[in-house]
Amino acid sequence: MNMALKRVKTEAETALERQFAGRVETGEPDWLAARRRQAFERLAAAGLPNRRVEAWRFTDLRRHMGAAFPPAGRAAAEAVSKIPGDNPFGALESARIVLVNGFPRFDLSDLDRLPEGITVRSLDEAVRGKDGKLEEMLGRALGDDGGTIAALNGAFAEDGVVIRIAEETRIETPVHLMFVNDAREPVSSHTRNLILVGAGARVSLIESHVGSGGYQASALSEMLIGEGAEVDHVKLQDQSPAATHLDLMAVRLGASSALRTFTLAKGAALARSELRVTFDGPRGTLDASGALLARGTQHLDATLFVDHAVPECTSRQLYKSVLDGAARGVFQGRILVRPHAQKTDGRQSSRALLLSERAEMDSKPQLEIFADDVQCAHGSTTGKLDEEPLFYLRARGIPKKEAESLLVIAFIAEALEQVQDEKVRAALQRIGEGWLAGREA
Amino acid sequence: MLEIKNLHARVEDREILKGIDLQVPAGELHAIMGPNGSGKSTLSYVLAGREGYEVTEGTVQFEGRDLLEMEPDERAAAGVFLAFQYPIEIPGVATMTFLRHAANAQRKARGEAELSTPDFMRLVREKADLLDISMDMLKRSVNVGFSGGEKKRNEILQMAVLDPKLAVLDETDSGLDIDALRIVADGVNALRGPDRTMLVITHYQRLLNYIIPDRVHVMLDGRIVRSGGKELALELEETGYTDFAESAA
Repeated sequence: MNMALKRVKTEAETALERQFAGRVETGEPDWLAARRRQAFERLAAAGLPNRRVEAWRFTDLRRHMGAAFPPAGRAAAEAVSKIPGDNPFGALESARIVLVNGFPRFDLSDLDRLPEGITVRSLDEAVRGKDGKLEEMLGRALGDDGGTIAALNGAFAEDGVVIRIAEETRIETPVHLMFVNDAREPVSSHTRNLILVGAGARVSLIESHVGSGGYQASALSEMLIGEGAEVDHVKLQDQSPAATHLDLMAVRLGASSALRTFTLAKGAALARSELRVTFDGPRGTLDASGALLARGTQHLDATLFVDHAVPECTSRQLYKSVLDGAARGVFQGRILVRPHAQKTDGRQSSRALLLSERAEMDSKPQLEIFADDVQCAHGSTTGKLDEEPLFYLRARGIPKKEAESLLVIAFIAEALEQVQDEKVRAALQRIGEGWLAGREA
Repeated sequence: MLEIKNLHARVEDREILKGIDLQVPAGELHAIMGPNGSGKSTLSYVLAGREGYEVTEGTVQFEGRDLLEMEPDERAAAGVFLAFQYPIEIPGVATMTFLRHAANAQRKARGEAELSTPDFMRLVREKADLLDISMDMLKRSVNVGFSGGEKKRNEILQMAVLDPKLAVLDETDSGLDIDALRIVADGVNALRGPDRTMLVITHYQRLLNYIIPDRVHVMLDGRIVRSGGKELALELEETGYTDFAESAA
């Protein structure tokens, strides 16, 4: 007799099962349909994670997701006649690729501004094409089990973009992926993207996740970076205050390639951003930095996993969190150094600034080192604004709130400085200043 | 005119100022001399409005306004400037940015128009040149990696740029070699004028060779025990503070 306790399903879990069962067949290839089923089965078996699941210890998704909203559907996305909302990088020269509720809207995008050497297609189109490689490429960076976000997204995502950057191409104009959510009623959106960066290529990618209304958004992006390629990546998570946002970026870095990625998270009621990076070849470098700005009852989670699978790679993680009101910030950073990954240099730092007595930060560094000739370090601090600099600024005539803003900008500056492109950095700084201007006195 | 009457203040449970009476008319520069622990720095912090310094009795008026009722930034906008004994380091805030925010915040509080960036840069450069402060120093974070002398010169630069009506200089001479002292003193003297009230707090007479005060006050154990002309500083140098303690008792 099977005595295992059967877990009681939550309303959201039951709804997800119902939604999956009720999916309209889209005639996708068998391999994709099979993966979709597997993803759903993983999700159904594990359920939504609660805090007893170690990886979600500080972010109780099961409790937060009281309901699972139905997928928004392609028709609604195609009915939109112009890009909803403002472009947070409006002042920046870029080629925009617009997705509404997870579906590409190339007619609203700047495809004509895309430079030579870069192609953008819809994922749905790409998987139906004759490109057999796609079956092999999709899921490669992710591996077999990407966890809850990968399972949820894998079960429900219908579309997204496939971006290819040809070998040895230098893309000067940033490519801006605008993920826009337009929720007139509670819906979910799921986007799946694949970014292939050819050997020796250079590209600057910006992602913004924005929207209006109450919705649940998931985004799963995989990036395969070829040998010697360099990628600058910036992500802005500025979802609507009622939104739930889950995203996962999985990256494989080829030999001597470099990824610089910066995340500014300030939106959503609850958000979790995961980054998983695997070094595929020696001498790869990763700079992963970010800033979390949260207030009210917001809950923002940054979870990073860096897999030093090969020797001589360097990784840096630098996160700054600023928490006001009763907000909660989470930083989880795991560095795995596998047995043969000698000469690994892995560093991680998470610093949090609490602007209120009720704000809370949970920081969990995890170093797992199985090689002996490595340099690894981590540091984590949480504190308040220092009184002395604050008084010094005020004694020079700067009002308290403005003085605090200056000190907060100074606090996140170290992370922001990782962004190489000055114009992008200035745009991010303005967004940070805008957040500070919205503080209650 | 700065007018302090029967000022008592404490830090935590310790009473440090025990009834200060002091008047500094507009256009004059007064020196307050006293040994360590006499309450000189406490007086400067009370004037600037630092938290944790609790006034239990007495009044402080500047140009007829009650300073004690004002926030630190309001006092600054009203023309009060404190040159810190130990200037604070602010990593991540460039000195130029700091100066611009301070100058514009004060102008805004006074209902004046903000200075344009080029005008402001010109003003800062002109003042910085006089104090031998390089553009490179202005780009660096406030006081971070500055030598003791650079920090003090930076205080005087701020004073020159912000153009206060009441300047309180707390031990501005401490930690300065003779060349730096001369630069700082020249900077202070350049700011003297009929519209400016200045209070120079110092332990040693040395500074007063370069900055000649109109009046000298001796502070001991939280009180002004004697006041006189500039010759009082010289007398003090010879006799030391002990004799004053006895004569005051």
